[in-house]
Amino acid sequence: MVSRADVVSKAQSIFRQVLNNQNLTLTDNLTAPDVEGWDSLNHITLVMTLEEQFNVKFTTREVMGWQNVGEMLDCLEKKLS
Amino acid sequence: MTLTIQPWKISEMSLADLINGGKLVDRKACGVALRMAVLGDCATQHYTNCLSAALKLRGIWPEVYEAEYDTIRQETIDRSGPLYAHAPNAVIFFNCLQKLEERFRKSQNRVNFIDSILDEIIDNWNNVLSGGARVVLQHNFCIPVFRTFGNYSVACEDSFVFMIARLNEALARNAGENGAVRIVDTEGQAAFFGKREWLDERFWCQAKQALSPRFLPCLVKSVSDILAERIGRSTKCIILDLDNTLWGGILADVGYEGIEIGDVSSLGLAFQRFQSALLQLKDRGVILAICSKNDEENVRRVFSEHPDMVLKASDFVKIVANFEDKVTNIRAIQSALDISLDSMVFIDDSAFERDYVRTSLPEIQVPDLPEDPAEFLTKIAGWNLFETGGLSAEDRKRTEFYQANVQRQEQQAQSSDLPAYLRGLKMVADIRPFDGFTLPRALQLFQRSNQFNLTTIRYTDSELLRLAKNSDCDAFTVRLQDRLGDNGIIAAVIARRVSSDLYVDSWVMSCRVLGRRVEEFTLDIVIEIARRHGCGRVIGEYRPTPKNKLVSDLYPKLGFTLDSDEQNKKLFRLNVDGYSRPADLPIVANFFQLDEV
Repeated sequence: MVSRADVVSKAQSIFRQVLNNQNLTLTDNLTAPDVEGWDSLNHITLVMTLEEQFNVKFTTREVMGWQNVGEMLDCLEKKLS
Repeated sequence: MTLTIQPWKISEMSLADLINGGKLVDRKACGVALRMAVLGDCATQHYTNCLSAALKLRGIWPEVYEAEYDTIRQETIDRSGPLYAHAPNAVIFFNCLQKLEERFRKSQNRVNFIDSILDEIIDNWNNVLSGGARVVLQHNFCIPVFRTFGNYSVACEDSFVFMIARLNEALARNAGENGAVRIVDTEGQAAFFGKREWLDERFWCQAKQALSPRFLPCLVKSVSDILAERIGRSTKCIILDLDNTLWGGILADVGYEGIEIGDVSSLGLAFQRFQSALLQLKDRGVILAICSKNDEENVRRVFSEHPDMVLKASDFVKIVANFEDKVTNIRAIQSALDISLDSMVFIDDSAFERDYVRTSLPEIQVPDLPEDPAEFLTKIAGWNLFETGGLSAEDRKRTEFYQANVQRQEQQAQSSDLPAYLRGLKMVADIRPFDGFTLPRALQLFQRSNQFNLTTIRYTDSELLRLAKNSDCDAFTVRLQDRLGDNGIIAAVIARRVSSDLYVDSWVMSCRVLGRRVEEFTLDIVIEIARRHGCGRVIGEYRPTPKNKLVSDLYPKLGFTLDSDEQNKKLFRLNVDGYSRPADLPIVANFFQLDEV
């Protein structure tokens, strides 16, 4: 069983790597406009890298539906449980 | 110039690492710049970012114009638009399968659909080429996975699968005929990685991305290979280890009968198949050399007597088997062959040797061979180490040329009287204009020569043809033969008549024939041409590059006087009346229909 903290910590390191920002801290309310460099292009890289690193696959509807980082992590956590 | 990264490594990078890695390279770290444009009918931002990063990591600074999404037609037609204002040297067309499917669905005339697409694409090429671009890179189409006719799809003319296969074939044929167009084999790459993953529908639906971005590093790596090859960077030589690289086992331990090669075992078969692939590369002009810690006599015995060896001693230009360290031996091979380290690949199963060579000689590519020999071939295929733009008669005989050269060097080293040695070679040179026979090799010389290249103008096929037909232009090739064999076409010159001067626009020569007075001989031919046309002076131009220092003093050494000295260009002149042929030139000329040029 993977804990939420594990998911957040691993996701955070992926975000930091993709967005090239070592100080980024993930919070549930965080959205793309809050983060420098998180544009639509990097968003695709993020989703793809999360899939690769967590070995999961998001459906198109899931990707379309996320309103913030929290919802993204919820979705990820559900797939891992 | 040191490479920022070994090119093979780019194919192993993740998307994020590649893009972020490219950001760390600045203009100063790049020896050359390349003006280019990317036009696509899919989203190209990721692609362009990755390609720029890959080029930067190879020391090529990209100056990129990226067209808006799906504007290929407008951009190529509009002569006053931003594409032509950017004046790109290279134009890349990334047409994708998904857009083609969309257009097919909306097409009124499905019977002629593929022909009209082909015409449109060729028209795009011609537009940008006549608008100043020197080279076009055209992506071919990934053949779709959805088969409306099942297996019959490959045979049914109405199936999309059939149509795209036909389109790809027609694109390749037309690109070959054009000469300035190179195909990027998207279909081959997609098949290599698996189309289920490559054509991940979600990325098209979400972001109009033609492929899953995780494959972009490999795709752009192969695009950068074509661009790098166009500026004279390609793999000319593979240096191979022996034990556990070309056969299984340690020869010194298991002996001649004990090595694993051939049907003796699964592993033996893997090594044999690897040797077959190397033989195919050798046959198309990549030269092979051995660098192994072994006893040479034992090694030669394996090559000459072992029945299951595919490669023979005669397939190698140099066999170095001794107990010296590998860096010393690679340097020896390099100086014997006289080709640059960055055109060599070193293949060795030992991680220690690889690391030692990589640290000591960073220019030579040293890919990380997989542990299992049965994976060698697939892994090497993924690195795309052997990009080339054509095949000339010289390619097929390159190994022989280099072998004869190694022999010449050995004989020269033994002879204390150089003039006598050169006379003894009995050199004869054929002087031919650019024609169907000489043009492919002339093209190769202009594109690949870096060191002995006075102006480094990278002519394309069609440009050379045009020059050959121009009556104010004298272009010729030099093919050198001697007692030890044929050297093939080793030099090419383009000279233009400008008022009463003969202006040497380009002069390239293979470094294989350095030290044999071919330079003086070539000048003698140039003077002969000047005299025939009544030109009073010969003007020579030199444009410095990071790689052509070798010829910076060529003209003064040949008796020319400096005329003008600008930052990027020096002009030299020689009065034809003041020239006299060196009495002891050891080369005899044969002219072939030079008057008909």
